[in-house]
Amino acid sequence: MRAIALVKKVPDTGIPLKVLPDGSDIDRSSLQYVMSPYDEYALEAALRLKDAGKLTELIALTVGDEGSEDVLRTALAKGADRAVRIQVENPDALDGLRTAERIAAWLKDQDVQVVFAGKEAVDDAAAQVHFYLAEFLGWPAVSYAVDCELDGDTLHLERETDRGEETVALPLPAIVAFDRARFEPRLPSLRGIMQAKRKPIDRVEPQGETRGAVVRVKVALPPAREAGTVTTSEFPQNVEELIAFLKEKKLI
Amino acid sequence: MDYLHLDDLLNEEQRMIRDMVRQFVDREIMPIIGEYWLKGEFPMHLVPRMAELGLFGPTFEEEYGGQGLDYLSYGIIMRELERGDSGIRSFASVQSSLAMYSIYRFGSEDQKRKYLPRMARGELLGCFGLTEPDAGSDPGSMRTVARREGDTWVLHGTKMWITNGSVADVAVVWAKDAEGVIRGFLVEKGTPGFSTQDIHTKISLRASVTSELILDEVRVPEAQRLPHAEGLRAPLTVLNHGRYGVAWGALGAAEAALDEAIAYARERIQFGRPIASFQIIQQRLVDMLARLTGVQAIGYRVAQLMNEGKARYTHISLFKRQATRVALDVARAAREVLGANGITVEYHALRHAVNLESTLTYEGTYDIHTLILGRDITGFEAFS
Ligand SMILES: Cc1cc2nc3c(=O)[nH]c(=O)nc-3n(C[C@H](O)[C@H](O)[C@H](O)COP(=O)(O)OP(=O)(O)OC[C@H]3O[C@@H](n4cnc5c(N)ncnc54)[C@H](O)[C@@H]3O)c2cc1C
Repeated sequence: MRAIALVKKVPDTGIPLKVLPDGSDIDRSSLQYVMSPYDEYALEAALRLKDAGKLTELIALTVGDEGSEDVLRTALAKGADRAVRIQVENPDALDGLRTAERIAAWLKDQDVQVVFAGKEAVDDAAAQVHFYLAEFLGWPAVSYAVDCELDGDTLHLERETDRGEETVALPLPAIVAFDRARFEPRLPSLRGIMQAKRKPIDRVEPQGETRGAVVRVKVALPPAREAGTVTTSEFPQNVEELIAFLKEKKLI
Repeated sequence: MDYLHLDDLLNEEQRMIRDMVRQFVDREIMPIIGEYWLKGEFPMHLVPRMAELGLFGPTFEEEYGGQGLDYLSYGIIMRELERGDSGIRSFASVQSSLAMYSIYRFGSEDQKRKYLPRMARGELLGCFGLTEPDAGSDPGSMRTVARREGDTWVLHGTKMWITNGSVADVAVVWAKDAEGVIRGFLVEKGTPGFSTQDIHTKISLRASVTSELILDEVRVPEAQRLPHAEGLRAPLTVLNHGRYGVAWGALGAAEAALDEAIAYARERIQFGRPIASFQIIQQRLVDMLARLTGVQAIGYRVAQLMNEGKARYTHISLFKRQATRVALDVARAAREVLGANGITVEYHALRHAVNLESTLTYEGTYDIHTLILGRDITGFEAFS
């Protein structure tokens, strides 16, 4: 059984963002990049199935420029067998639909049974690619998975949603998108890192229809929050002050 | 803090190694280190994890359990580990650069095959016993003796300040034979007459095991002698290798302390302003930055020389001397910026600073490296 893990290179969200003076984009000069965290969970889920002997081959795939091969190397170092980069010059200009089109165009000729993805990439948080892909391929897709198990031709997923926990079964081929999982993504070992050098990365030309893309018009930081009001009085006077304050603001 | 973007000199694989060790430290060391440090305990559960990640003996060839790693990568590993704690880095240094390297460099093929792969997997732990109660900077004056009786050597003496001493499965012990020639022996835990005693009174390197080794007529076969080690040169060669990692480690501790001080100074408000906006604080931070950056550059250059096989022991002395001194000064100054918070283990600067006191002393004290460099540039020896 062959699986694909979709991985995307995104800015490390731990680093404070700056916006370019003309508002066209964030300032990317001082950013550091990482694999999108939900992709890491999805990759880990796939690696676990591979460790358990349930996958014969795991391929990491990204749609991006040369610089985005970093995340493919990371996936290879962690244990993916090979990697594919669908070459695009300016991946940031692609919206979810166009990204999914390109993946679908490549994937339809491949003998692949499962696609692992993150529930969203943490840069644009669009959460679209896996569902568009499901549409193009005609495969079932489920998101917010936190664990999975492969049993013959069925993928069993544990999901966590606002309504509670759920166990679902999907017939293969299928697409699964991961939330923060019940397990931690592994670190690559030194051996893995050294071996990753010798594993192939295929670079393929983008195929597929090109529909009109969503264009980013302007970016801005959220307005700074005003300082709050602090009461230093004792109970129960502080409660009274709070009630008076809320009434004054017509909030209660 | 990497002000000159020296890490841009890393290749892709070196960057991945850095990120891997950094994440390991963030996830698995930072949450627990303060507590272990206070308890005066080494977090033993990290050993199998470090082995799994490949952090023991990574520079050796694959047949000996390594990955044939270059020396810049090795330095970066040590730097990142000590960003966590000097005790953790010391553990890795002793295992890789002192114990394993002694066997790698001076052992027989049989010894290498017997010990190195298992040490790389963390199944066997090693220590390096050179220092004695009365022989520190002057190891040539050691009193531990090795008496030959046919095919057996009888070791007698005491080793002091030995990192990982009581947890080690195999101790590399240096002793003088009847002719006064220093030789190395592999003494396994449990050998009759061999015992250890931990030193519990340390106020530096607390998350590290430091022991006394007691050798009371310990009998080891000739096959346990390191055949290619003859004279003081042998342990000094090993130490030279080890102190390259010590120097990189010190950089990690200093970088962590400086980062912490800058972040704190920007947040901490006194007199209605962040303390970072006061000139005295800025000057302190900039002095730290400037001195640290200088040593980082030395580190990168010495790494290049190591990789080219051109590093002289004096180059490593310079690096070790500067790195440990500057790191200690930086960590101490960082502590001061943190005010009262700086004296707790919830912050890291003081833990690093007191740890660095050990690094200033072990693997050749600051003074000894001064004398080594002094001899090198003047031609006059000033040791005695
Ligand atoms: C935490 C820790 C772990 C250690 N781990 C190990 C280990 O694993 N294996 C091991 O073998 N050893 C280990 N050591 C020992 C370490 O290598 C010695 O402490 C070191 O070599 C210094 O020896 P000493 O402490 O006897 O100091 P001394 O040699 O007595 O020096 C005392 C002071 O005198 C100065 N001094 C000495 N000679 C001269 C001179 N000629 N000119 C000017 N100044 C001089 C020194 O610089 C120092 O300031 C460890 C030490 C520590 C603190």
